Amino acid sequence: MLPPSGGATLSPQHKHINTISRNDLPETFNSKEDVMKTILAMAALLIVLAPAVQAADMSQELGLTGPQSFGFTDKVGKNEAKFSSKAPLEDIDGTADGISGQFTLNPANIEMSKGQVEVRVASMQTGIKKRDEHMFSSTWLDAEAHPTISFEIKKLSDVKVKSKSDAKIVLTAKAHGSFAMRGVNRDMVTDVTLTILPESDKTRERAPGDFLMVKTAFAVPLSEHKVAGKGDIIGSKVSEKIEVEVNLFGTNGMAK
Amino acid sequence: MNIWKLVAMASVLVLLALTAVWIAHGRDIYTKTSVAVETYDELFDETSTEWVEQFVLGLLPSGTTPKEMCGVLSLGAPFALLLLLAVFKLRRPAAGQT
Repeated sequence: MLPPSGGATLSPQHKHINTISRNDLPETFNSKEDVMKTILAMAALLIVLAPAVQAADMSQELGLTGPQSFGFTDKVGKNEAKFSSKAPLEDIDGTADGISGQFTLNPANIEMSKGQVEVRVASMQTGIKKRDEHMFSSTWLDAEAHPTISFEIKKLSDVKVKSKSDAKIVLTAKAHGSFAMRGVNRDMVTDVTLTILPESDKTRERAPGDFLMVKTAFAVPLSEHKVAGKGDIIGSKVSEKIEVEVNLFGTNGMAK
Repeated sequence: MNIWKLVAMASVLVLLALTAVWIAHGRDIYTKTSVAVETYDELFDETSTEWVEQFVLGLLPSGTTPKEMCGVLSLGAPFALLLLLAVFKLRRPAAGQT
């Protein structure tokens, strides 16, 4: 039973709620409806705050505080984009290593992590110089007018911890962003794997700071980027969709 | 031995050798002058690619430098012609012979 005291006034039908002390209730609780409304409001608040709480957990999980900016550098690992075309008459495999960019990991709100990557078209090679020259020409990638291919990561979603040890934390996520090639921007969602290597004796041998590897793979439809090619080569010697795999390596310690 | 028989045999041998080298080099359509070699990065458990200078004979020439001009078809064409000529000569008796 609620002890009789001044302040909150409860109607007789509420006296059976003997688990709640009368002193616990603010004066505004005049009815059972008020109590229910408050409980519902608190539940709604918890639902709204749940992602933020989850993000805070991620911050603890990663052992990082505050946004971490990782600059991509070959000192950490070989930044590379591999591309592959499988067509009926010819298979082409190539790489590009003229890569620059950065990724800002926001452990407190991991989904708001952002980044940008640029690949120099002139750094692409397939093992045949003549073919590379054709690839850079205006018929294909037009390296003179559009010297870079870029991907801007605007946010992450479905972030999950795949594995965690003292030496390595592996996250998987979907990266949402904008892919630009040959002057055409296209919204893109791609699966990414983020591997974080906390600074250690092994990592310090290469560069200072924590290391981040971003790995992703996606397909680039040539027609959507206005790559027409010469004659009917696309479809016979060059596939309509180019498969791309990207490995990016960065550190947050270059500015230290 | 008839000279045309020798020419025919030598041409066949050269064409077979070219084909064998082409198969051994990976049966590429175009001749390559550099190849991708995978290197392993233990720290990240990943592989990366390095391009190293290496001649790979293809079916067709791929460029204008002497190496790039090589190809099974470009190198083999003169020997194929010689073989055809030899076969033609061997099947047609020399003038005056009965």
